[in-house]
Amino acid sequence: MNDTPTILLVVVVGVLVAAGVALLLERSLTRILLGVILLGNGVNLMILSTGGAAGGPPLLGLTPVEEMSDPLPQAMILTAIVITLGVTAFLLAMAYRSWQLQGHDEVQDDAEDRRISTGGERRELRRRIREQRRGLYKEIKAQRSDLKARIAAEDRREEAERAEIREQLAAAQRDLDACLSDDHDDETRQRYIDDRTEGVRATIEKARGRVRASRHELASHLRADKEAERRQRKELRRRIRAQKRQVRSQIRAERERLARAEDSDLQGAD
Amino acid sequence: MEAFLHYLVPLPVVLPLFAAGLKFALGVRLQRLSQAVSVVALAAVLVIGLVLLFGVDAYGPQVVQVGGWEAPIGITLVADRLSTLMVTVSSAITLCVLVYSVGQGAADQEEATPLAIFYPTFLILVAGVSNAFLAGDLFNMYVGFEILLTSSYVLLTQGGTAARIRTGSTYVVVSLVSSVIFLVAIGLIYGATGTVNMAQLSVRLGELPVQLQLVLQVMLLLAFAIKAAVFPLSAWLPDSYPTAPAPVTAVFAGLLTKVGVYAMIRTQTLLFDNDALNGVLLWAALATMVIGIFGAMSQNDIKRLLSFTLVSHIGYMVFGIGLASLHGLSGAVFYVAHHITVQTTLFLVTGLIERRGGSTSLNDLSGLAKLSPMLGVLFFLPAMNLAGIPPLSGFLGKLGLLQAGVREGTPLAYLLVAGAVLTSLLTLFSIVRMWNYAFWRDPDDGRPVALGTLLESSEDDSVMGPSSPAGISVVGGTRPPIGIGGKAVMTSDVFPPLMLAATVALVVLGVAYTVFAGPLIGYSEATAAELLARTPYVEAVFPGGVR
Repeated sequence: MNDTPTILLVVVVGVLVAAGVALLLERSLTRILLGVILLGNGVNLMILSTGGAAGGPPLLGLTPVEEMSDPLPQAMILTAIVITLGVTAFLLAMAYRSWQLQGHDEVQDDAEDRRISTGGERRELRRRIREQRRGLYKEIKAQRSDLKARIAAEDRREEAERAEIREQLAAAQRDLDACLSDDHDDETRQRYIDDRTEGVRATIEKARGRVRASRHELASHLRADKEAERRQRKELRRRIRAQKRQVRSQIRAERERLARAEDSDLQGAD
Repeated sequence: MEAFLHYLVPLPVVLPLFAAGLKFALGVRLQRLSQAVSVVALAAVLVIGLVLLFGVDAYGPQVVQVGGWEAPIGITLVADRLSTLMVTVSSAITLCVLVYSVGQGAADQEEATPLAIFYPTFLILVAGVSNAFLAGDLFNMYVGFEILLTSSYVLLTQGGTAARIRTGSTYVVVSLVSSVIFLVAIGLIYGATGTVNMAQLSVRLGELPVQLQLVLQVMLLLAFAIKAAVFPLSAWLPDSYPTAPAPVTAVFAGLLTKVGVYAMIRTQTLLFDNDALNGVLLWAALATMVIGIFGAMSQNDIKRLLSFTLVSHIGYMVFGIGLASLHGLSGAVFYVAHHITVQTTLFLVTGLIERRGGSTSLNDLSGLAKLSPMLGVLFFLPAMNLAGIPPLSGFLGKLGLLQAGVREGTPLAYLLVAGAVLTSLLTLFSIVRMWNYAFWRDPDDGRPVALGTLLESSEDDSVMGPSSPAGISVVGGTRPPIGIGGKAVMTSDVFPPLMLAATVALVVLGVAYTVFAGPLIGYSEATAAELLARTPYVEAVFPGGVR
């Protein structure tokens, strides 16, 4: 007896199984059902092909034993066909029930998938918030370094003013000394000193005023900077809160929808 | 005695089937009689299982050639140590679950229609499980798988609620795929060897070219790993089990995955005598344990959390199978028996929690230890057993596996040992989390457990008509507990006596494993020796030698 199955059976098995698997990957239960049927038939044919080439009917007295085809695969196929029939009926009922409940027969995402997708929204929000915060910090840092540079410049200017004052004082001292060493009378000397003192005092006063003004300006600048920073932080916090609230409400709505979808035991029971 | 022992072998399959038929014949008229029929049938199976357990231990594997057709022509049923142990443990827990569901059905006063389907289907499921355990040829095992799967489809979608249909469709499609793979493997094996009798295959498969052997082995293991929920193939389980009614989830979690584990043990010991895939199995076991328990840690619903621990603990059994040593297999066998019982108990207790607290979400439950100390004890014992706290049987099972791993001594085995210890710790963590939230938290912290809340919602249903979604209270986004028939049930502070009795019986059984750990471990070691020797099985099926 020939043990080799025909190539035709093998090819048909391949086509059926391939089509079955392709259909099985669909989302609609009806297509999955068709896939299961094709797959089942493919497998049954494969079992048939394991019995070798076709022979006579396996009945004693009708066919010589050597020419009989193998009866065992056929018995197995019969069982498998019955099982496929039962499962098909069940899947049909389930697809129908699903259509009754939801208006479609698509297999839905499982709970973990949904958790991950809502978690994804949260992760996205967290990323956005982080980005905003990072932007703010960068801005604040830039402002601070700007401020520092300004303070340094002011310091330098103040230093220069002070040096100038010292210079002028020294010059006045020199003048005074020169005047004192000259042989003028006391009155002229006195007048001269008064003149000089007046001039130097005015100059120093002017320089001091400049320093004070610049200090004042710096302080007000600092205050304004701090104020701006505080405002920015406040604004960021407000924005983050608003976003969180929005996402939370979205998630809540989604949950409610899902809970409704899950709990609609009684929807469409009519 | 010995001469009659083998007549008992087909009874675990035949009795539940017969009882199911009888129940259909009785219909809904004689409720009490019909319930008595199912309880008596399963009790009888338990007794038969026990008798077989001692008989097989004393006289070796028992074989029945159905219809008098000698193997390999006829259908062979074989009861060796492993299958008898599985049948006995499974009949014990199915009996308890049946009693529990009778109590629940009576308490919920559901209409007769869904329940009239529920009990016969449950009996057919038991018959399918027994058939898968006792089958002596691959095709009969496939038929057993199909019987139990088809009835599990019905049980899982019982009542046809939207949630059950959604999870049911995933479950059905995944199971179908695994069945198809199994069937293809059987077809190929028949084509390659000309037989499907497992005893004969144990000889003939070894004569095939190594590559072909590997292909067949991978296909079988793939099919069984889907059923057993081994890691990359486990995603379907935590999604589909929790929506089913408590007794159904309990029996599925306890038994159905273990049928897959049983088939994996058979494939790896009886059918294929090589260690080519042991490394792969060990890696899969590691991934199953660790990833499963990580999933459990992030869950907030007791049923989902327990489903993830179920996946994770399947890893322990695969670990034992992958070691393929005497101690590894014996540890796996002991662990299977222990885990079937403990996991079923925990799901039944969860059903009670749901009845008391009105939810299974850890966000909603609080203060149960104060409200119902009884529930606390019932939960605490199996939970600690699951985590493996000494001296309970979970600890002994894990210890056996760890010792087997250390004895193996390879780096991979040590890695597995480390993974197993980590998983055990994280299991303890998840359980302590459940305990702290549901039992020890001050009742004011969570949603107050209000008796009769769901009473209102069910009243709403009757007032507003069944099609109104407003009847479902979306308080805190939780669902009301749903009974076997798919209707919302009320919370109450008194448990129906039958439900309580069944749960207590299972807790006691779990503790009994600890008390009788010595004989049990002796038995599982004898089982492992018998599995590794292979000859007792083969000689029992073919007393005159394999042709």
